[in-house]
Amino acid sequence: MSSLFNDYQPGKFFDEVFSAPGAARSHYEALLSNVGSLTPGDYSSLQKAVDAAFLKMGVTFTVYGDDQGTERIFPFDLMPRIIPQREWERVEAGLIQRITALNLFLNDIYHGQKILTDKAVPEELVLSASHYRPEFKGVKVPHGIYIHICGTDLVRDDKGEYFVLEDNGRCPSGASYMLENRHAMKRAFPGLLQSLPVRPVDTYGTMLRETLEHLAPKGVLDPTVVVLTPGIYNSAYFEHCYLAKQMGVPIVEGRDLIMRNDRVFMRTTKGLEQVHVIYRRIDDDFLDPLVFRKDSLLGVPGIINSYRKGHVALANSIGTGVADDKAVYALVPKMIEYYLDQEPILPNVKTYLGIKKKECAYILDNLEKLVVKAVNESGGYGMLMGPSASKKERSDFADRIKANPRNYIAQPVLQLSRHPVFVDDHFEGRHIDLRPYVLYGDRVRVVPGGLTRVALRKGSLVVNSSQGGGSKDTWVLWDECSDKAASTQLAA
Amino acid sequence: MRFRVFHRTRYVYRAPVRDSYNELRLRPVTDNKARLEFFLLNVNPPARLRHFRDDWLNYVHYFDVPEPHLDLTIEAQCTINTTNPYADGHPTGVKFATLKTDLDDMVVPFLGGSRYVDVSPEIWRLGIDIRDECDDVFEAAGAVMHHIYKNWAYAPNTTTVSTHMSEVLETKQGVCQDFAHLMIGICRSLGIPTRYVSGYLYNGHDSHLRGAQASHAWVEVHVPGRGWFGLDPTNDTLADERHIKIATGRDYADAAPITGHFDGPPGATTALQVELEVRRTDR
Repeated sequence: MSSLFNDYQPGKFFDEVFSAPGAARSHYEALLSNVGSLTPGDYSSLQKAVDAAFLKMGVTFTVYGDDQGTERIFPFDLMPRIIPQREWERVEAGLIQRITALNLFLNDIYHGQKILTDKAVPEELVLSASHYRPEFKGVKVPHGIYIHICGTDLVRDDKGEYFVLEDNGRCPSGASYMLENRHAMKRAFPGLLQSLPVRPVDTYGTMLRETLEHLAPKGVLDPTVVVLTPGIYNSAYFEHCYLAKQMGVPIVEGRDLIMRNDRVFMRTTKGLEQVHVIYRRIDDDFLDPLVFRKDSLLGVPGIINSYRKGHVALANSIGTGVADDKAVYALVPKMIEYYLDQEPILPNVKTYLGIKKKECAYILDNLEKLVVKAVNESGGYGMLMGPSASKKERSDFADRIKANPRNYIAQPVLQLSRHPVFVDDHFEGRHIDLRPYVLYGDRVRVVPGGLTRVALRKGSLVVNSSQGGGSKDTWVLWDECSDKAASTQLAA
Repeated sequence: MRFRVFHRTRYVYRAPVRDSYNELRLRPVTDNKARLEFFLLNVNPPARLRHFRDDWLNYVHYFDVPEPHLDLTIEAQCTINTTNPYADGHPTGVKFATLKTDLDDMVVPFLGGSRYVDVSPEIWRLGIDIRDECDDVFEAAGAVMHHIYKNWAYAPNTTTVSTHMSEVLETKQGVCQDFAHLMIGICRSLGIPTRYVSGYLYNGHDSHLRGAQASHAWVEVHVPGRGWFGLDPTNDTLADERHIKIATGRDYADAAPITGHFDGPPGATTALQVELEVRRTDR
């Protein structure tokens, strides 16, 4: 075994690589025998070369509400996270089950609301979600699918068990980093990936495009797909451009689109061209000033009307935010039971709801043990890490919870699994999570792997890039048989 | 063997239909020979699924779509691990006499006639001829399987899902479902409890097996003291780890993958599309 890891301490956490000091898990052995031959100096210079490449290519994100420069490189740690096939298959199955149930839920909430009539979930909780769009009730969406692109956050606890932390069913970001991380690995270790059975992720662009094309209005054989971005000041602008390029489709801003006869057209140098499918990376609120926020300059006036009439498709659909409200999250296991008549494959993290009197009292009594989250915030904003917060922070948060209990949920602090991360000249354990990308087009497909995010600050449990998180390449190992041929024919 | 199955059935209607109610037998069996690791059903128009176990312990999922719709898609996907039920050898050595002495109440429904199967004098005479002097239950069942395979022609599109065994007996042709019904009739006439099995057949690149990569049907005979054993008359082979079992019953009527009803104009269904992919994921 390598000298690089001689002094590595897995600690009392679930370590992804080492089950005990010096004892690597079997799916990491091949990697360690390769990387292990490097000296810390070699490794460090590889890491520096990758950092320089990220800066040069502009693999960045933007931090809001911070004075020290807004655009940052997304820190990348060279040592990949590896998931063996069997483990991955269970994750994949759980994600397919979950996105299926979430879509059935959304379809129901925007049509008959049977789940509410049957009292399978509390009505007041669902209908009070701030991203619920009652104006969208009764609108038929293509194929009845609402969430086409989902980025579900998974974590593992101190026993290595996977849990769903949240479902990002609005505009999940990060897929571009997943793709760039893989490129970076290939440059840093030429030949290594080919020698190991790592499932590719670079088909994401094609898969995403197929998913979007599947939504095109009936009869359109060669649909025009575009990526709609809020513009260069958005934190994920790099990603919007990157994905448009990967798919080979134009990237547009609201002002590039115009309505004519209920249809959406794009201004091009050759005149107007009709747009059939829009991968919109703008929140509902800003999409159409005629329907949602009147002050929005980012959207396209009239686009919702065109969507209602079926002339243009939007991915994701409108109002999906009701499903990734952090309080509605707590109901997903019930949705799986209600719609699919099954048990959830991937469990939720135990969640206390502020809206429920008893649970709210529990939250207020146990703030120092809990993570409290505002239900509609993302990116690690608006949360309280109970154990590490100061007394004052806790009492401030308690006041906020009392003022608006619906707006808060709390969860026990999970001891997230750790992974070795290169710090200065050696490896140290850091907490990680996993965001796999689920695409729902002709059928549900999950990109093997996803984005592993790392809490780079020692001891930190917050992996969001906006809070000092980095990322890793994620390898799903392939031991699928060579016989992948699949045929399609009519039943006997 | 380990398989990933994706099975999609789509009905297209020429005019809107409504109040559709459907029952699905699409969930593979988990028993000591096969383990279902993952199973998911999804239908479009979106509907809530529920399930019950029927008289034969099959999982039956059901749903309704009240609102008018122009097409209906039913998707089943699963990951399943199978083993060869014959790994410990064939259940031979059981004499015909034990069929009477060891009669188990559980197998009585599989001895007489059912919707698509008759135990008629004609079929009994055929059974006697095939059995010849054989006194071993399992070997006699094997002889019936060989006989059907040798003397009946595999002819897709000559029969329908509701073709009765007696017609198959006469025309000497059909597909897997017909051969299963015929074999059930012959074996039952000999006093061997026999049931219908619907499922999938994995065939890899081996194109000589019929019904490969499509919904398949075969039979199971009950050998007293040993249990149920599968035989596939369409392919003249014992049902092994390539046979993924979904539902069992007296005949097709008990094990049909999809049955349903809707309100709509006569002949509303203009197309039925089936997509089936059985992919091996081990090796």
